[in-house]
Amino acid sequence: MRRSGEIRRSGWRYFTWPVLGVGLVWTLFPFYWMLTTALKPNDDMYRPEPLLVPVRITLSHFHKVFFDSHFPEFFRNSTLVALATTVLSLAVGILAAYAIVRLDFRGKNLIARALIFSYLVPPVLLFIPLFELIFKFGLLNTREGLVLAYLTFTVPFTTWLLMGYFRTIPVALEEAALVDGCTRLTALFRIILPLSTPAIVVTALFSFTLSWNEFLFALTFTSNPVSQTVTVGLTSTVAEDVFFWGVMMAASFLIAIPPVVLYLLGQRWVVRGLTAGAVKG
Amino acid sequence: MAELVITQPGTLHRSARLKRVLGRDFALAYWLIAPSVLVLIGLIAFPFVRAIMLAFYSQPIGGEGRFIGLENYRTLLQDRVWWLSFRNTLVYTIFGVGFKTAVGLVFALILHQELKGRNLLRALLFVPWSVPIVVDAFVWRWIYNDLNGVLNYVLYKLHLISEYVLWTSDPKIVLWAIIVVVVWQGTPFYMMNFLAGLQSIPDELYEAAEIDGASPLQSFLHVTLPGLKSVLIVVTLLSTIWTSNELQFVYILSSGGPAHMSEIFPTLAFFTSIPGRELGLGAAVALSFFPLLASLIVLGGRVLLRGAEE
Repeated sequence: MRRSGEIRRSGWRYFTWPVLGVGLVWTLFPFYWMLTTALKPNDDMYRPEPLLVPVRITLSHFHKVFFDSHFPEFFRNSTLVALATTVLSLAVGILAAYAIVRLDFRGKNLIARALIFSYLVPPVLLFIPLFELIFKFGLLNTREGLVLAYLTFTVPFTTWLLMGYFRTIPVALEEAALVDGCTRLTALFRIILPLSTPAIVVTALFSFTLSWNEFLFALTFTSNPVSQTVTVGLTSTVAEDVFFWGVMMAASFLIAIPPVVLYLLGQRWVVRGLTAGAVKG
Repeated sequence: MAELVITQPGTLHRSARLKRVLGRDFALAYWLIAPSVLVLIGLIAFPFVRAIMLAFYSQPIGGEGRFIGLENYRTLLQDRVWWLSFRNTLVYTIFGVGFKTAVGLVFALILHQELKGRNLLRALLFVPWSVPIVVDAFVWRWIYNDLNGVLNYVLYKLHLISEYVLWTSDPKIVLWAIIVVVVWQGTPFYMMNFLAGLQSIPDELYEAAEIDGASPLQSFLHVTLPGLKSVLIVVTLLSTIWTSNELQFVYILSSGGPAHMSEIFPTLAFFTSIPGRELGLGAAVALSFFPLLASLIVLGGRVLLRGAEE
Protein backbone atom coordinates (compact mmCIF):
# COMPACT_ATOMS: atom_id res chain seq x y z
CA MET A 1 0.00 0.00 0.00
CA ARG A 2 2.56 2.51 1.09
CA ARG A 3 4.83 1.74 -1.81
CA SER A 4 2.14 2.40 -4.38
CA GLY A 5 1.25 5.64 -2.61
CA GLU A 6 4.86 6.69 -3.00
CA ILE A 7 4.90 5.81 -6.66
CA ARG A 8 1.88 7.91 -7.33
CA ARG A 9 3.21 10.77 -5.33
CA SER A 10 6.73 10.83 -6.67
CA GLY A 11 6.04 12.57 -9.97
CA TRP A 12 3.67 15.04 -8.43
CA ARG A 13 5.28 15.90 -5.13
CA TYR A 14 6.76 19.19 -6.21
CA PHE A 15 3.65 20.31 -8.03
CA THR A 16 0.99 19.37 -5.51
CA TRP A 17 0.84 22.40 -3.26
CA PRO A 18 1.57 25.09 -5.87
CA VAL A 19 -1.07 23.63 -8.20
CA LEU A 20 -3.54 23.26 -5.34
CA GLY A 21 -2.91 26.84 -4.29
CA VAL A 22 -3.56 28.18 -7.79
CA GLY A 23 -6.56 25.86 -8.11
CA LEU A 24 -8.10 27.05 -4.87
CA VAL A 25 -7.64 30.74 -5.67
CA TRP A 26 -9.01 30.20 -9.17
CA THR A 27 -11.99 28.27 -7.82
CA LEU A 28 -12.84 30.35 -4.79
CA PHE A 29 -11.83 33.94 -5.56
CA PRO A 30 -15.03 34.65 -7.55
CA PHE A 31 -17.08 33.67 -4.50
CA TYR A 32 -14.92 35.82 -2.23
CA TRP A 33 -15.54 38.67 -4.66
CA MET A 34 -19.27 37.99 -4.72
CA LEU A 35 -19.58 38.08 -0.95
CA THR A 36 -17.37 41.12 -0.38
CA THR A 37 -19.20 43.02 -3.13
CA ALA A 38 -22.48 42.22 -1.44
CA LEU A 39 -21.15 43.70 1.80
CA LYS A 40 -19.41 46.82 0.43
CA PRO A 41 -21.07 50.26 0.38
CA ASN A 42 -21.51 51.65 -3.15
CA ASP A 43 -18.88 54.36 -2.53
CA ASP A 44 -16.25 51.68 -2.02
CA MET A 45 -17.35 49.69 -5.05
CA TYR A 46 -17.54 52.16 -7.91
CA ARG A 47 -14.17 53.82 -7.66
CA PRO A 48 -11.11 53.67 -9.90
CA GLU A 49 -9.25 51.41 -7.48
CA PRO A 50 -11.60 48.69 -6.21
CA LEU A 51 -10.90 47.60 -2.64
CA LEU A 52 -9.71 44.01 -2.60
CA VAL A 53 -10.48 43.80 1.10
CA PRO A 54 -13.60 45.65 2.28
CA VAL A 55 -12.88 48.35 4.83
CA ARG A 56 -16.49 49.17 5.60
CA ILE A 57 -19.27 46.62 5.84
CA THR A 58 -22.91 47.32 5.07
CA LEU A 59 -26.01 45.16 5.03
CA SER A 60 -27.90 47.68 2.90
CA HIS A 61 -27.73 45.49 -0.23
CA PHE A 62 -29.18 42.53 1.63
CA HIS A 63 -31.77 44.84 3.15
CA LYS A 64 -32.76 45.94 -0.34
CA VAL A 65 -33.01 42.32 -1.54
CA PHE A 66 -35.32 41.42 1.33
CA PHE A 67 -37.47 44.53 1.64
CA ASP A 68 -37.24 46.60 -1.51
CA SER A 69 -37.23 44.18 -4.43
CA HIS A 70 -39.17 41.35 -6.02
CA PHE A 71 -36.80 38.76 -4.60
CA PRO A 72 -39.11 37.55 -1.83
CA GLU A 73 -41.60 36.68 -4.60
CA PHE A 74 -38.88 35.05 -6.71
CA PHE A 75 -37.79 32.97 -3.72
CA ARG A 76 -41.35 31.92 -2.99
CA ASN A 77 -41.90 30.93 -6.64
CA SER A 78 -38.66 28.98 -6.86
CA THR A 79 -39.41 27.14 -3.63
CA LEU A 80 -42.96 26.23 -4.62
CA VAL A 81 -42.02 25.17 -8.15
CA ALA A 82 -39.04 23.13 -6.97
CA LEU A 83 -41.03 21.44 -4.20
CA ALA A 84 -43.98 20.58 -6.45
CA THR A 85 -41.66 19.27 -9.15
CA THR A 86 -39.79 17.15 -6.62
CA VAL A 87 -42.90 15.61 -5.08
CA LEU A 88 -44.51 14.89 -8.45
CA SER A 89 -41.41 13.41 -10.02
CA LEU A 90 -40.78 11.24 -6.97
CA ALA A 91 -44.33 9.90 -7.09
CA VAL A 92 -44.11 9.19 -10.81
CA GLY A 93 -40.57 7.89 -10.53
CA ILE A 94 -41.08 5.50 -7.61
CA LEU A 95 -44.02 3.74 -9.28
CA ALA A 96 -42.31 3.46 -12.65
CA ALA A 97 -38.96 2.39 -11.23
CA TYR A 98 -40.59 -0.35 -9.16
CA ALA A 99 -42.53 -1.67 -12.15
CA ILE A 100 -39.47 -1.68 -14.40
CA VAL A 101 -37.18 -3.34 -11.88
CA ARG A 102 -39.54 -5.90 -10.34
CA LEU A 103 -42.51 -6.61 -12.56
CA ASP A 104 -42.70 -8.68 -15.69
CA PHE A 105 -44.39 -6.89 -18.56
CA ARG A 106 -43.98 -6.29 -22.23
CA GLY A 107 -42.18 -3.10 -23.20
CA LYS A 108 -40.20 -2.55 -20.05
CA ASN A 109 -36.87 -2.42 -21.84
CA LEU A 110 -38.35 0.10 -24.23
CA ILE A 111 -39.38 2.32 -21.31
CA ALA A 112 -35.99 2.00 -19.66
CA ARG A 113 -34.35 3.06 -22.91
CA ALA A 114 -36.79 5.89 -23.49
CA LEU A 115 -36.01 7.22 -20.02
CA ILE A 116 -32.27 7.32 -20.53
CA PHE A 117 -32.49 8.88 -23.99
CA SER A 118 -34.93 11.55 -22.85
CA TYR A 119 -32.59 12.35 -19.97
CA LEU A 120 -29.99 13.24 -22.62
CA VAL A 121 -32.28 15.40 -24.78
CA PRO A 122 -31.18 18.97 -24.01
CA PRO A 123 -33.82 21.56 -23.02
CA VAL A 124 -32.80 23.70 -26.00
CA LEU A 125 -34.56 21.20 -28.28
CA LEU A 126 -37.72 21.26 -26.17
CA PHE A 127 -38.29 24.84 -25.12
CA ILE A 128 -39.96 25.98 -28.35
CA PRO A 129 -42.60 23.20 -28.60
CA LEU A 130 -43.14 23.35 -24.84
CA PHE A 131 -43.70 27.08 -25.18
CA GLU A 132 -46.48 26.33 -27.70
CA LEU A 133 -47.96 23.68 -25.42
CA ILE A 134 -47.91 25.86 -22.32
CA PHE A 135 -49.23 28.81 -24.32
CA LYS A 136 -52.14 26.69 -25.60
CA PHE A 137 -53.02 25.49 -22.11
CA GLY A 138 -52.98 29.10 -20.90
CA LEU A 139 -50.17 28.31 -18.49
CA LEU A 140 -47.69 31.02 -19.50
CA ASN A 141 -46.67 33.08 -16.47
CA THR A 142 -47.85 30.42 -14.04
CA ARG A 143 -45.92 28.22 -11.65
CA GLU A 144 -47.93 25.22 -12.87
CA GLY A 145 -46.56 25.72 -16.36
CA LEU A 146 -43.01 25.66 -15.02
CA VAL A 147 -43.66 22.50 -12.99
CA LEU A 148 -44.91 20.76 -16.13
CA ALA A 149 -41.80 21.80 -18.04
CA TYR A 150 -39.46 20.77 -15.21
CA LEU A 151 -40.92 17.26 -15.18
CA THR A 152 -39.23 16.75 -18.56
CA PHE A 153 -35.84 16.54 -16.88
CA THR A 154 -36.71 15.41 -13.34
CA VAL A 155 -38.87 12.38 -14.22
CA PRO A 156 -36.33 10.52 -16.41
CA PHE A 157 -33.60 11.33 -13.96
CA THR A 158 -35.53 10.38 -10.80
CA THR A 159 -36.81 7.12 -12.28
CA TRP A 160 -33.37 6.16 -13.51
CA LEU A 161 -31.71 6.80 -10.15
CA LEU A 162 -34.38 4.90 -8.24
CA MET A 163 -34.20 1.97 -10.66
CA GLY A 164 -30.51 1.68 -9.89
CA TYR A 165 -31.23 1.66 -6.18
CA PHE A 166 -34.20 -0.72 -6.22
CA ARG A 167 -32.03 -3.24 -8.09
CA THR A 168 -29.68 -3.42 -5.11
CA ILE A 169 -32.47 -4.50 -2.72
CA PRO A 170 -32.63 -8.32 -2.48
CA VAL A 171 -35.74 -9.78 -4.11
CA ALA A 172 -35.94 -12.33 -1.29
CA LEU A 173 -37.19 -9.68 1.14
CA GLU A 174 -40.20 -9.01 -1.02
CA GLU A 175 -40.87 -12.61 -1.90
CA ALA A 176 -41.22 -13.44 1.76
CA ALA A 177 -43.85 -10.74 2.10
CA LEU A 178 -45.65 -11.84 -1.06
CA VAL A 179 -45.81 -15.41 0.21
CA ASP A 180 -47.31 -14.05 3.43
CA GLY A 181 -50.11 -12.59 1.36
CA CYS A 182 -48.92 -9.02 0.79
CA THR A 183 -49.88 -7.42 -2.49
CA ARG A 184 -47.20 -5.96 -4.74
CA LEU A 185 -48.17 -2.44 -3.74
CA THR A 186 -48.00 -3.21 -0.02
CA ALA A 187 -44.59 -4.74 -0.59
CA LEU A 188 -43.50 -1.58 -2.36
CA PHE A 189 -44.69 0.74 0.39
CA ARG A 190 -43.87 -1.42 3.42
CA ILE A 191 -40.59 -2.99 2.34
CA ILE A 192 -38.94 -1.27 -0.61
CA LEU A 193 -39.61 2.35 0.27
CA PRO A 194 -38.41 2.24 3.89
CA LEU A 195 -35.22 0.53 2.70
CA SER A 196 -34.74 3.17 0.01
CA THR A 197 -34.99 6.23 2.24
CA PRO A 198 -31.39 7.37 1.59
CA ALA A 199 -31.83 7.05 -2.18
CA ILE A 200 -35.15 8.85 -2.06
CA VAL A 201 -33.70 11.68 -0.01
CA VAL A 202 -30.78 12.10 -2.41
CA THR A 203 -33.09 11.93 -5.44
CA ALA A 204 -35.31 14.56 -3.86
CA LEU A 205 -32.31 16.82 -3.17
CA PHE A 206 -31.38 16.46 -6.81
CA SER A 207 -34.76 17.25 -8.30
CA PHE A 208 -35.04 20.21 -6.01
CA THR A 209 -31.66 21.64 -7.01
CA LEU A 210 -32.12 20.97 -10.71
CA SER A 211 -35.45 22.79 -10.60
CA TRP A 212 -34.08 25.59 -8.43
CA ASN A 213 -31.16 26.17 -10.83
CA GLU A 214 -33.17 25.93 -14.06
CA PHE A 215 -33.02 28.93 -16.33
CA LEU A 216 -34.10 28.48 -19.97
CA PHE A 217 -37.68 27.30 -19.32
CA ALA A 218 -38.22 29.97 -16.68
CA LEU A 219 -36.86 32.61 -19.06
CA THR A 220 -39.16 31.44 -21.85
CA PHE A 221 -42.38 30.77 -19.95
CA THR A 222 -42.49 33.54 -17.36
CA SER A 223 -42.18 37.28 -17.72
CA ASN A 224 -43.37 38.85 -14.47
CA PRO A 225 -42.64 38.54 -10.74
CA VAL A 226 -45.90 36.65 -10.13
CA SER A 227 -44.33 33.49 -11.51
CA GLN A 228 -40.65 34.24 -12.15
CA THR A 229 -38.09 32.17 -10.27
CA VAL A 230 -34.86 33.37 -8.67
CA THR A 231 -32.71 32.61 -11.71
CA VAL A 232 -34.69 34.73 -14.19
CA GLY A 233 -35.50 37.17 -11.43
CA LEU A 234 -31.79 37.89 -11.16
CA THR A 235 -31.52 38.79 -14.86
CA SER A 236 -34.58 41.02 -14.71
CA THR A 237 -33.03 43.00 -11.85
CA VAL A 238 -30.18 44.25 -14.03
CA ALA A 239 -32.26 46.73 -15.96
CA GLU A 240 -33.78 48.39 -12.92
CA ASP A 241 -30.79 50.14 -11.37
CA VAL A 242 -27.53 51.65 -12.59
CA PHE A 243 -25.57 50.72 -9.49
CA PHE A 244 -26.95 47.26 -9.14
CA TRP A 245 -23.90 45.13 -8.41
CA GLY A 246 -24.17 45.20 -4.63
CA VAL A 247 -27.78 44.04 -4.74
CA MET A 248 -27.01 41.55 -7.52
CA MET A 249 -24.22 39.92 -5.56
CA ALA A 250 -26.27 39.87 -2.33
CA ALA A 251 -29.12 38.18 -4.19
CA SER A 252 -26.70 35.82 -5.97
CA PHE A 253 -25.26 34.78 -2.63
CA LEU A 254 -28.71 33.99 -1.24
CA ILE A 255 -29.74 32.10 -4.38
CA ALA A 256 -26.60 29.96 -4.22
CA ILE A 257 -27.08 28.86 -0.60
CA PRO A 258 -29.73 26.12 -0.99
CA PRO A 259 -28.04 24.22 -3.85
CA VAL A 260 -24.57 24.50 -2.33
CA VAL A 261 -25.78 23.18 1.01
CA LEU A 262 -27.73 20.36 -0.63
CA TYR A 263 -24.81 19.39 -2.86
CA LEU A 264 -22.34 19.36 -0.02
CA LEU A 265 -24.73 17.08 1.86
CA GLY A 266 -25.04 14.63 -0.99
CA GLN A 267 -21.69 15.21 -2.67
CA ARG A 268 -20.60 11.65 -3.29
CA TRP A 269 -23.95 10.77 -4.78
CA VAL A 270 -24.18 13.76 -7.01
CA VAL A 271 -21.67 12.79 -9.62
CA ARG A 272 -22.49 9.12 -9.54
CA GLY A 273 -26.13 10.07 -10.06
CA LEU A 274 -25.49 12.38 -12.97
CA THR A 275 -23.65 9.82 -14.99
CA ALA A 276 -26.41 7.49 -13.85
CA GLY A 277 -24.26 4.66 -12.59
CA ALA A 278 -22.05 4.51 -15.67
CA VAL A 279 -18.99 5.32 -13.64
CA LYS A 280 -18.18 2.75 -11.06
CA GLY A 281 -16.76 4.22 -7.85
CA MET B 1 -55.34 -7.20 -8.63
CA ALA B 2 -54.29 -9.91 -11.05
CA GLU B 3 -55.45 -12.61 -8.65
CA LEU B 4 -58.94 -11.12 -8.67
CA VAL B 5 -59.22 -11.57 -12.41
CA ILE B 6 -58.34 -15.23 -12.21
CA THR B 7 -61.18 -16.01 -9.80
CA GLN B 8 -63.75 -14.86 -12.36
CA PRO B 9 -64.50 -17.96 -14.44
CA GLY B 10 -65.27 -16.61 -17.93
CA THR B 11 -62.24 -14.33 -18.10
CA LEU B 12 -59.68 -16.92 -17.12
CA HIS B 13 -58.76 -17.86 -20.62
CA ARG B 14 -58.41 -14.36 -21.92
CA SER B 15 -56.40 -13.21 -18.95
CA ALA B 16 -53.99 -16.13 -19.25
CA ARG B 17 -53.46 -15.34 -22.92
CA LEU B 18 -52.94 -11.66 -22.21
CA LYS B 19 -50.43 -12.54 -19.55
CA ARG B 20 -48.50 -14.67 -21.99
CA VAL B 21 -48.34 -11.80 -24.48
CA LEU B 22 -47.97 -8.83 -22.17
CA GLY B 23 -46.06 -10.40 -19.29
CA ARG B 24 -47.01 -11.87 -15.95
CA ASP B 25 -47.62 -8.58 -14.14
CA PHE B 26 -48.89 -6.46 -17.00
CA ALA B 27 -52.10 -5.31 -15.31
CA LEU B 28 -50.40 -3.72 -12.32
CA ALA B 29 -47.30 -2.69 -14.26
CA TYR B 30 -49.21 -0.65 -16.83
CA TRP B 31 -50.94 1.29 -14.09
CA LEU B 32 -47.64 1.98 -12.38
CA ILE B 33 -45.84 3.20 -15.48
CA ALA B 34 -48.82 5.16 -16.84
CA PRO B 35 -47.84 8.52 -15.29
CA SER B 36 -44.25 8.32 -16.49
CA VAL B 37 -45.35 7.22 -19.96
CA LEU B 38 -47.65 10.25 -20.01
CA VAL B 39 -44.68 12.50 -19.22
CA LEU B 40 -42.42 10.71 -21.70
CA ILE B 41 -44.92 10.95 -24.53
CA GLY B 42 -46.78 14.16 -23.77
CA LEU B 43 -43.95 16.34 -22.53
CA ILE B 44 -40.88 14.88 -24.23
CA ALA B 45 -41.59 12.71 -27.30
CA PHE B 46 -44.44 14.80 -28.69
CA PRO B 47 -42.63 18.13 -28.24
CA PHE B 48 -39.48 16.58 -29.68
CA VAL B 49 -41.32 15.53 -32.86
CA ARG B 50 -43.09 18.88 -32.94
CA ALA B 51 -39.73 20.68 -32.80
CA ILE B 52 -38.55 18.76 -35.84
CA MET B 53 -41.79 19.57 -37.68
CA LEU B 54 -41.61 23.24 -36.72
CA ALA B 55 -38.28 23.56 -38.48
CA PHE B 56 -40.18 23.13 -41.76
CA TYR B 57 -42.85 25.67 -40.88
CA SER B 58 -43.19 29.39 -40.77
CA GLN B 59 -44.81 29.73 -37.36
CA PRO B 60 -45.02 33.14 -35.70
CA ILE B 61 -46.09 33.15 -32.03
CA GLY B 62 -49.90 33.08 -31.84
CA GLY B 63 -50.16 33.15 -35.65
CA GLU B 64 -51.07 30.70 -38.38
CA GLY B 65 -48.44 28.07 -39.20
CA ARG B 66 -47.48 27.52 -42.84
CA PHE B 67 -45.48 24.63 -44.28
CA ILE B 68 -42.50 26.04 -46.15
CA GLY B 69 -40.28 22.99 -46.64
CA LEU B 70 -36.59 23.78 -46.42
CA GLU B 71 -37.12 27.55 -46.60
CA ASN B 72 -35.97 28.07 -42.97
CA TYR B 73 -32.74 26.28 -43.68
CA ARG B 74 -32.18 28.24 -46.88
CA THR B 75 -32.64 31.46 -44.86
CA LEU B 76 -30.17 30.26 -42.25
CA LEU B 77 -27.52 29.13 -44.72
CA GLN B 78 -27.55 32.58 -46.30
CA ASP B 79 -27.37 34.27 -42.92
CA ARG B 80 -23.96 35.51 -41.77
CA VAL B 81 -25.12 35.30 -38.14
CA TRP B 82 -25.91 31.58 -38.51
CA TRP B 83 -22.43 30.93 -39.87
CA LEU B 84 -20.88 32.96 -37.05
CA SER B 85 -22.89 30.94 -34.53
CA PHE B 86 -21.83 27.76 -36.27
CA ARG B 87 -18.18 28.63 -35.85
CA ASN B 88 -18.64 29.95 -32.31
CA THR B 89 -20.57 26.87 -31.15
CA LEU B 90 -17.80 24.62 -32.44
CA VAL B 91 -15.01 26.67 -30.84
CA TYR B 92 -17.00 27.06 -27.62
CA THR B 93 -17.73 23.34 -27.32
CA ILE B 94 -14.37 21.97 -28.42
CA PHE B 95 -12.27 24.29 -26.27
CA GLY B 96 -14.74 24.20 -23.38
CA VAL B 97 -14.76 20.39 -23.24
CA GLY B 98 -11.02 20.16 -23.99
CA PHE B 99 -9.94 22.52 -21.21
CA LYS B 100 -12.41 21.04 -18.75
CA THR B 101 -10.95 17.59 -19.42
CA ALA B 102 -7.36 18.79 -19.01
CA VAL B 103 -7.88 20.91 -15.89
CA GLY B 104 -10.24 18.33 -14.35
CA LEU B 105 -7.62 15.62 -14.86
CA VAL B 106 -4.89 17.71 -13.21
CA PHE B 107 -7.14 18.47 -10.20
CA ALA B 108 -8.15 14.81 -9.93
CA LEU B 109 -4.54 13.57 -10.03
CA ILE B 110 -3.57 16.11 -7.38
CA LEU B 111 -6.41 15.10 -5.10
CA HIS B 112 -5.77 11.39 -5.65
CA GLN B 113 -2.99 11.38 -3.09
CA GLU B 114 -2.78 11.14 0.64
CA LEU B 115 -3.25 14.81 1.46
CA LYS B 116 -4.19 16.59 4.64
CA GLY B 117 -7.78 17.81 4.45
CA ARG B 118 -8.48 16.04 1.19
CA ASN B 119 -12.23 15.89 1.80
CA LEU B 120 -12.40 19.59 2.56
CA LEU B 121 -10.35 20.41 -0.54
CA ARG B 122 -12.61 18.26 -2.66
CA ALA B 123 -15.70 19.95 -1.28
CA LEU B 124 -14.24 23.42 -1.88
CA LEU B 125 -13.13 22.66 -5.43
CA PHE B 126 -16.63 21.39 -6.11
CA VAL B 127 -18.46 24.63 -5.30
CA PRO B 128 -18.55 26.35 -8.74
CA TRP B 129 -20.41 23.42 -10.18
CA SER B 130 -23.04 23.29 -7.47
CA VAL B 131 -23.96 26.97 -7.71
CA PRO B 132 -26.68 27.89 -10.22
CA ILE B 133 -25.03 28.76 -13.56
CA VAL B 134 -26.83 32.11 -13.61
CA VAL B 135 -25.05 33.06 -10.39
CA ASP B 136 -21.68 31.88 -11.72
CA ALA B 137 -22.19 33.89 -14.88
CA PHE B 138 -23.22 37.08 -13.07
CA VAL B 139 -20.27 36.90 -10.67
CA TRP B 140 -17.95 36.69 -13.65
CA ARG B 141 -19.75 39.46 -15.47
CA TRP B 142 -18.95 41.66 -12.47
CA ILE B 143 -15.34 40.45 -12.38
CA TYR B 144 -15.02 41.22 -16.11
CA ASN B 145 -16.65 44.67 -15.72
CA ASP B 146 -14.83 47.22 -17.91
CA LEU B 147 -14.49 50.04 -15.38
CA ASN B 148 -14.88 48.62 -11.91
CA GLY B 149 -14.04 45.00 -12.58
CA VAL B 150 -11.45 43.41 -10.34
CA LEU B 151 -9.74 41.50 -13.16
CA ASN B 152 -8.68 44.62 -15.06
CA TYR B 153 -7.55 46.28 -11.85
CA VAL B 154 -5.43 43.36 -10.69
CA LEU B 155 -3.86 42.68 -14.09
CA TYR B 156 -3.09 46.39 -14.51
CA LYS B 157 -1.49 46.61 -11.08
CA LEU B 158 0.65 43.57 -11.88
CA HIS B 159 1.66 45.28 -15.15
CA LEU B 160 0.28 42.37 -17.15
CA ILE B 161 -1.86 44.74 -19.21
CA SER B 162 -1.11 48.35 -20.09
CA GLU B 163 -4.72 49.42 -20.49
CA TYR B 164 -8.08 48.06 -19.39
CA VAL B 165 -9.38 45.19 -21.54
CA LEU B 166 -13.03 45.06 -22.65
CA TRP B 167 -13.40 41.38 -21.75
CA THR B 168 -16.98 40.96 -22.85
CA SER B 169 -17.26 43.64 -25.52
CA ASP B 170 -14.07 43.19 -27.51
CA PRO B 171 -15.04 41.03 -30.52
CA LYS B 172 -11.70 39.20 -30.48
CA ILE B 173 -11.76 38.39 -26.77
CA VAL B 174 -15.40 37.86 -25.80
CA LEU B 175 -15.78 34.20 -26.78
CA TRP B 176 -12.57 33.24 -24.97
CA ALA B 177 -13.61 35.18 -21.89
CA ILE B 178 -16.83 33.14 -21.87
CA ILE B 179 -14.97 29.85 -22.39
CA VAL B 180 -12.90 30.66 -19.30
CA VAL B 181 -16.11 30.83 -17.24
CA VAL B 182 -17.44 27.63 -18.83
CA VAL B 183 -14.24 25.83 -17.87
CA TRP B 184 -14.22 27.33 -14.38
CA GLN B 185 -17.79 26.18 -13.77
CA GLY B 186 -17.58 22.72 -15.35
CA THR B 187 -14.18 21.50 -14.15
CA PRO B 188 -15.44 20.18 -10.78
CA PHE B 189 -17.77 17.70 -12.49
CA TYR B 190 -14.87 16.30 -14.49
CA MET B 191 -12.63 16.27 -11.45
CA MET B 192 -15.09 14.25 -9.37
CA ASN B 193 -15.65 11.69 -12.10
CA PHE B 194 -11.94 11.33 -12.85
CA LEU B 195 -11.27 10.95 -9.15
CA ALA B 196 -13.79 8.11 -8.96
CA GLY B 197 -12.13 6.58 -12.01
CA LEU B 198 -8.65 6.86 -10.51
CA GLN B 199 -9.81 5.16 -7.33
CA SER B 200 -10.97 2.17 -9.32
CA ILE B 201 -7.49 1.51 -10.76
CA PRO B 202 -5.94 -1.28 -8.65
CA ASP B 203 -2.71 -0.41 -6.83
CA GLU B 204 -1.15 -3.66 -8.05
CA LEU B 205 -0.96 -2.23 -11.56
CA TYR B 206 1.19 0.65 -10.35
CA GLU B 207 3.35 -1.74 -8.35
CA ALA B 208 3.83 -3.98 -11.36
CA ALA B 209 4.75 -0.95 -13.47
CA GLU B 210 7.32 0.10 -10.90
CA ILE B 211 8.86 -3.37 -10.73
CA ASP B 212 9.18 -3.27 -14.50
CA GLY B 213 11.09 -0.01 -14.09
CA ALA B 214 8.46 2.36 -15.45
CA SER B 215 9.00 6.09 -14.91
CA PRO B 216 6.14 8.14 -13.39
CA LEU B 217 5.34 9.43 -16.89
CA GLN B 218 5.28 5.91 -18.30
CA SER B 219 3.02 4.61 -15.56
CA PHE B 220 0.73 7.59 -16.18
CA LEU B 221 0.59 6.81 -19.91
CA HIS B 222 0.30 3.04 -19.60
CA VAL B 223 -1.61 2.54 -16.35
CA THR B 224 -3.53 5.71 -15.46
CA LEU B 225 -4.82 6.74 -18.87
CA PRO B 226 -6.00 3.27 -19.97
CA GLY B 227 -7.65 2.86 -16.55
CA LEU B 228 -9.50 6.12 -17.04
CA LYS B 229 -10.60 5.36 -20.59
CA SER B 230 -14.22 4.49 -19.89
CA VAL B 231 -14.72 7.42 -17.50
CA LEU B 232 -13.12 9.77 -20.02
CA ILE B 233 -15.48 8.59 -22.75
CA VAL B 234 -18.64 8.92 -20.66
CA VAL B 235 -17.74 12.30 -19.22
CA THR B 236 -16.64 13.97 -22.44
CA LEU B 237 -19.61 12.52 -24.32
CA LEU B 238 -22.21 13.76 -21.84
CA SER B 239 -20.40 17.03 -21.35
CA THR B 240 -20.27 17.68 -25.09
CA ILE B 241 -24.06 17.35 -25.23
CA TRP B 242 -24.54 19.61 -22.20
CA THR B 243 -21.87 22.20 -23.03
CA SER B 244 -22.97 22.73 -26.63
CA ASN B 245 -26.57 23.26 -25.52
CA GLU B 246 -26.02 25.57 -22.57
CA LEU B 247 -27.05 29.15 -23.25
CA GLN B 248 -26.75 30.77 -19.83
CA PHE B 249 -23.07 31.76 -19.98
CA VAL B 250 -23.39 33.56 -23.31
CA TYR B 251 -26.84 34.96 -22.54
CA ILE B 252 -25.68 36.59 -19.31
CA LEU B 253 -22.09 37.53 -20.10
CA SER B 254 -22.54 39.02 -23.56
CA SER B 255 -26.04 38.32 -24.96
CA GLY B 256 -24.17 36.94 -27.95
CA GLY B 257 -22.60 40.29 -28.74
CA PRO B 258 -20.84 42.41 -29.73
CA ALA B 259 -22.30 42.05 -33.22
CA HIS B 260 -22.94 38.31 -32.69
CA MET B 261 -19.26 37.63 -32.14
CA SER B 262 -20.12 35.30 -29.25
CA GLU B 263 -23.47 34.07 -30.55
CA ILE B 264 -23.97 30.29 -30.29
CA PHE B 265 -26.86 28.18 -31.54
CA PRO B 266 -28.70 27.96 -28.20
CA THR B 267 -28.77 31.76 -27.75
CA LEU B 268 -29.59 32.34 -31.41
CA ALA B 269 -32.46 29.82 -31.15
CA PHE B 270 -33.82 31.63 -28.11
CA PHE B 271 -33.51 35.14 -29.55
CA THR B 272 -35.06 34.05 -32.86
CA SER B 273 -38.00 32.15 -31.38
CA ILE B 274 -39.08 34.07 -28.28
CA PRO B 275 -38.11 37.76 -28.55
CA GLY B 276 -38.04 37.38 -32.37
CA ARG B 277 -41.38 35.49 -32.27
CA GLU B 278 -40.42 33.12 -35.13
CA LEU B 279 -40.91 29.67 -33.61
CA GLY B 280 -40.26 27.79 -36.85
CA LEU B 281 -37.01 29.54 -37.66
CA GLY B 282 -35.95 29.23 -34.01
CA ALA B 283 -36.57 25.47 -34.09
CA ALA B 284 -34.50 25.23 -37.26
CA VAL B 285 -31.63 27.01 -35.46
CA ALA B 286 -31.97 24.74 -32.40
CA LEU B 287 -31.77 21.75 -34.72
CA SER B 288 -28.74 23.03 -36.66
CA PHE B 289 -26.48 20.37 -35.19
CA PHE B 290 -29.21 17.78 -34.96
CA PRO B 291 -27.55 14.87 -36.81
CA LEU B 292 -24.42 15.30 -34.70
CA LEU B 293 -26.40 15.80 -31.51
CA ALA B 294 -28.66 12.81 -32.17
CA SER B 295 -25.67 10.54 -32.66
CA LEU B 296 -24.15 11.82 -29.42
CA ILE B 297 -27.42 11.16 -27.59
CA VAL B 298 -27.70 7.64 -28.99
CA LEU B 299 -24.05 6.94 -28.19
CA GLY B 300 -24.36 8.43 -24.69
CA GLY B 301 -27.57 6.49 -24.01
CA ARG B 302 -25.89 3.24 -25.04
CA VAL B 303 -22.91 3.86 -22.78
CA LEU B 304 -25.18 4.66 -19.83
CA LEU B 305 -27.32 1.57 -20.46
CA ARG B 306 -24.26 -0.63 -20.69
CA GLY B 307 -22.98 0.86 -17.42
CA ALA B 308 -26.28 0.08 -15.72
CA GLU B 309 -26.36 -3.51 -16.91
CA GLU B 310 -22.90 -4.35 -15.59
